[in-house]
Formats: sequence, C-alpha cells, structure tokens
Amino acid sequence: MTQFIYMFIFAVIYLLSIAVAAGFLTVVERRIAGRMQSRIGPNRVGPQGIVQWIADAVKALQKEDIIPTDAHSFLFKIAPYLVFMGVFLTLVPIPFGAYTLMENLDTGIFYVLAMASFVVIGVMMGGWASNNKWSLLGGMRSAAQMISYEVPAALAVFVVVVMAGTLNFQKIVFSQGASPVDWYVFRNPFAFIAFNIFFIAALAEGNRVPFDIPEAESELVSGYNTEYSGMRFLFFFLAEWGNLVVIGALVSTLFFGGWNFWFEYTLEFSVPGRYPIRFEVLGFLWFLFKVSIFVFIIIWIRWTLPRLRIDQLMDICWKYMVPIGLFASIGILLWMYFVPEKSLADTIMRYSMTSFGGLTILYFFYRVFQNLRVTKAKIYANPFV
Amino acid sequence: MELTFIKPFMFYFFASLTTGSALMVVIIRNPLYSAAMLVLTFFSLAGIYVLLNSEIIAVLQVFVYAGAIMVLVTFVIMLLNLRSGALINKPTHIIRSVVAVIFSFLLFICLISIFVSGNQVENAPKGVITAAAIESEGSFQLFSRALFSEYLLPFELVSLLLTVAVIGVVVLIRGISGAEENKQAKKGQGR
Amino acid sequence: MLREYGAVLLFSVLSIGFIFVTLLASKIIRPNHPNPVKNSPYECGEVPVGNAWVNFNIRYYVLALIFLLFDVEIVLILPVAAVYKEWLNTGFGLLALSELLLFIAILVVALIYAWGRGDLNWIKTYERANAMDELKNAGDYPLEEK
Repeated sequence: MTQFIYMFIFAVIYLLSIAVAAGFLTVVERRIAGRMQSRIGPNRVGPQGIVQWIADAVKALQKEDIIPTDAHSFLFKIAPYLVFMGVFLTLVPIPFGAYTLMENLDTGIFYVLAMASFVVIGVMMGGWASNNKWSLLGGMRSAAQMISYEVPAALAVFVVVVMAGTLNFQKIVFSQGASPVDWYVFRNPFAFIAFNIFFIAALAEGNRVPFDIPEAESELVSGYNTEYSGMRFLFFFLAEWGNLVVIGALVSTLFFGGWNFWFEYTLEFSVPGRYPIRFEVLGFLWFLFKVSIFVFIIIWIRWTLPRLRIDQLMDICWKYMVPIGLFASIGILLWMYFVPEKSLADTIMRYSMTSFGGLTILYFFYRVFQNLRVTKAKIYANPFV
Repeated sequence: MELTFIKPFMFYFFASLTTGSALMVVIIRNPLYSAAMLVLTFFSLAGIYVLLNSEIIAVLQVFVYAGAIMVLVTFVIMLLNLRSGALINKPTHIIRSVVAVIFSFLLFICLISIFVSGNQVENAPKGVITAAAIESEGSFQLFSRALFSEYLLPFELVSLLLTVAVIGVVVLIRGISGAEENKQAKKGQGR
Repeated sequence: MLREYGAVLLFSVLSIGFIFVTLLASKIIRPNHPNPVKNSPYECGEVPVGNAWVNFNIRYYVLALIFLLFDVEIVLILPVAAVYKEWLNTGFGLLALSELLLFIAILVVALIYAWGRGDLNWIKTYERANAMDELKNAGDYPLEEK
C-alpha cells in the first residue's frame, strides 16, 4: 500500500510539472516569437511576464463553455481527455535522470509510439463532433498527417533500436555515454540520417510548423479545435505544449545521450516505508538543458518557416522520408554487421562525425556574428528588456 | 508482490469493460459512437493482455488496432457518410438474418466447448515461454527471440503477405477511385 | 510487470481526474447564457449552410490502408531489431542480416509498386489532367501558348 501511495505522489508530481512546463513554455514561445518579430511580447504579469500562463488559465477557467447545436456532445467532450492522455502517458517510460523515472517499461519506445494513437483518435473525434466544416477538415487532415509521419518516425527508431539492442529507454541511455563521441547521432552516418528523420517526423506528429496544416490559422481558422472554448480549449493547448517537452526528451534520449553526465551528485531522501528516494541532480539538469535546446529549436523553426501545403506534406512523407528511412535502416544493418563496435573504423567514424558536427555549429555562430558585423545590427543579449 | 491480490479484481474490471463496450458497439446506432466504443474495447483488451503477463501483445494491440485500424474505420465512415441510423433504416433480408443467427449460434457453441474442455489446458505441452522465464528475462526479449528463431519462416512470409496486400490495395483502389473521384469532381465536392 | 503497467493505469486515471476536476471547477464559476446565434457553428460570420458531415475524399482511405500495412511491418520489425545485436554477438550475424534485409527488401518492392502506380500522390494525375481539360474547354485560362 505504501508503494502505491508513493507511486501516486510521483504521478501527481509528474502531472503538475508537465502542466507547469507546458504553461511556462507558452510564455517562453510568445516571448521568443516577439523577439523574432521585433516586438516585446507578454511582459506584464509577474517579472518579465513569466506568470502570464497563470493569468491565461484563470481567464480560461471563467470562460463560457460553448457546445455548438447539433454537435455530438459526448464525443465533443471526451476529445480533450484523449488528447491530453496521449501526451501525458508517454511520460511514463522516459528517464529524466538516473533515478528520475516513473517505470522502466521494457517496451519503451514502442509504448511511446503506441500512445500517439490516443492523440490521433482524440483529434479526429474533436474535429468530427464539432459539426463545423473547419473542424472536420482540420481533424481529418491531422489524422492523415499523424499516421503518415508515424512510419518514418518508427523507421528512425528502428535504427536506434538496432544500435542499442533494446527498446528500453534506460538501457538505450546506458549504452550511450556522456561525451558527444558516445552519442548515437555521431556514431555513424545512418544514425545521423535517422536523427534528422525522427526530428522532422516528431514535428509533424506534434502538429508544429511547418507541418501545422491541421490548425492552419489562415485557412482553417483553428482546425480541429475551432469550436472549443474555455477550459476544453486549454487542454488541447496543454497537450500541444506538453508535447514539445516530450519531443525534446525523446530526441535527447534516443540520439543525444540522455541524462549521461561526466560527474554525478546524488541526493538521498530517506522516507518511511520505502527504500530512500534518490535524485541525481547534475544528470537531471544536463538533460533539462538538452531538452530546452530542442524546444528552442522547435520554436525557432515555427517562427521562421512558412507552412507546407497538404500535397507537399504527403509527398515529403511518402516520397522522401519513408525511402530515406528505409535506406538508413538497411544501412545500419550492414554497418553493424561489417563494422563491429570499438573497432578502428568505428572509432574513426565517431571522432570524425563529432568534429564535423562541432565544426558545423561553430561555423553557424561564425556566420551569425559576421552577418551582425556586416549589417551593424545591435545585439540585445539581455533577454529581460 | 504487494499488488497481486488486485489481479482478479482488475481482470473482472477489464473483462466487464470489454464486454460492455463491445455490446455498445453493436447497440449504438451512430457509427462514430460505435467507433469510440470500439476504441474502449481495444484498450480494455490491452489491459487484459497486461494481466496475462504479455506486455508486448498489449502494446501491439494499442499500436495496430487503436492506431491504425481505428483511423481506417473512421475514414470509411467518413467516406460513406453514414449518418445515425443510416444502416438501421434498410430492411434486412430474411435469409441474411437466418444465416447470421445460425453462425452466431455455431460460434457460441465453439466458445462453450472451449470453456467446458478448459481443464485440458493444464495437460497441454508447455513451451519455453513459461511464467518463470517471463519473470526472469522479460516477455519482450522472449517474444523477439522466438520471432527470430522458431518463427523465422512465418516472419518472412508476413512481409510477402504485406506486399501482396499493398498490391491488392492498389488494384482495388484503382477500380473505385477513378469513378468516385471523377464523380466528386463533377459535383464539386472533392475535398 | 503488473506494477509497471499499474503506473500506466494510474497515469491515465490521474489525467482523466485532473481534467474532470478542472472542468468541474470551471463549471461552477463560469457563466452560462446560451443563445441560438452563439451556439451556431463558426463559419467566419456567415450563416452556416447544412451540416458539416459530407462525404470525404477516398484518398484518406487509401492513405490509411497503406499506413496500416507499414504499421504491421513496424510492429514485426522492431522486436526483431532488438535482438539483432544479440545475434551478431553469438555469431549468427549473417543469418540475421540476410533475414532482415530480405524482409525490408520485400517491403521496398511494395512501396515502389504503390509509388509507381501513383497511389502515393495526394493529387492524382488523372484528376489533374481532368482539371486541366475542363479549364481548357472553359477557355478562360490560357494554358497553351497561342
């Protein structure tokens, strides 16, 4: 029974942290968007607007709940539940640190792929039940897009699974290391291809720009959630921004070494009726840092790229990403067979790919600063303006 | 294990949920509501699989049925534009109902006979995958190993089967799709 | 096993409970003044014509069918990939490699077939051709150089 109580407490902590993280990210995204468009963004509620999301939630709580006439109210009501559940359940097997993990599921990444189906069904039901043409179009397109991009995502996961020899997240993290040389992205070219495919497919599964056709504001009003108002609408939002964290966590776990850090510093809390709760601080912070980098990249992409058209979207999936994914999975099988781990060729490839990746990032910053010098633009490095 | 005593309760919970939602699938007149109930059936079945110590089958159940089959079913409902009661208003042919009754009766007899001869399961030959093996190695590793060694030929044949299915889809679609899309294009409802 | 998936069940119950409680709280404090105009579906201010449920295009159905087949492929291939390394280490590498390559190769053939027949195109070629013909016949769109 004590075991169950602790499990319940942990689950509540997970729920609160994902809600807070999603809320906080909405503010962060709006601030970043403001900066990218030369405006300020929300900065009134709390210091620099960081509690804007609480104000938004309180506002949504008081909003009237409108269910359109002739809508199928039961399906209309359960859709937010399904969508939120689909995102929240994916958190179960993801390790946020050496001990910060809900349950170590053996089916790991497979389970996460399966949980995506909750979101698909929820979005489809919400779109269908609204009795609104925009919603219906948005919901159907969304379902088509999500199921299509599940194929390349799974092919990219296949590459990682072949390298790690397991589906268990914690074992995948253990088989990588702290330094970039040991990360799966820089192990071999096929893994690098797989990373790119997975990242793009994850963007599409999360309905993020440039794949935000389901809720394209300028053509479908708001897509599948057009008719939702107040709290129900907020739960779709919560799921979408919670999904950002999940995408970041998945990418950094599968390809960027997860919580592996060079040093460790473990806190121990002794609690009654259970072995002590351990919390590894440095690895957890390192993991959060990686996740926030990916979240920032996703937000950056959103405010940079235009939206794709639906036929372009489907073409990219079935004619580019699926064949490239199949190529990468054949390649990784051959690579694993012909280049055994820790052989000379493997080591050379690792180090050269890592240095190539590092140089690319350095070159990017060099170009940025050079452009700034040429255009003589002022940099506002201080985010708290 | 502290939680084992819950197992029977969980089983009855999931079993009643499965049967109840499966019944609702048949009873409810609105096809989309039936589809929603079908999802519930799939999830509670997955729960039963977990109780049977086979997590992989549970995840497969959710992945394939809830992820792919459900989307397919919903698209078909959209495609045919089945309204609430659209199927009910059609008069059912008498022969059809007679055949349905006979077949469901046969199915019922099959089920009953399995229950009656249930104690034979005890004497059936046991494979490598026992409860102890699952406990020590995890059902997932055992499943994958079995798939790659004992069931290698079926595994390869499945890929052939899938290819045949793709060809079937392509050929089938070619037949309907041309007529359907032209009709829709003429009506101006193509979406 | 039971405990691990117990956590999954707990998470789903908790998320349902969370949403339910929040919606309940919202129900207590929010206003409720429905009127026919407010409750009508939003169509950018126009009065909605008919309801939303129309026949959907068959292309979604084709897509779902093809996806289903690839889904089954993924289901079978991921568990096998998990033991590939184990087989390499025990010396049955060539067998495992050839089996997996065969499996993927057969599916590549399927993909190429569907692609070749044009079923991966979102806008079908004959549809495009028909549209072009209609435009040409209508005569208000100069498709060809005079």
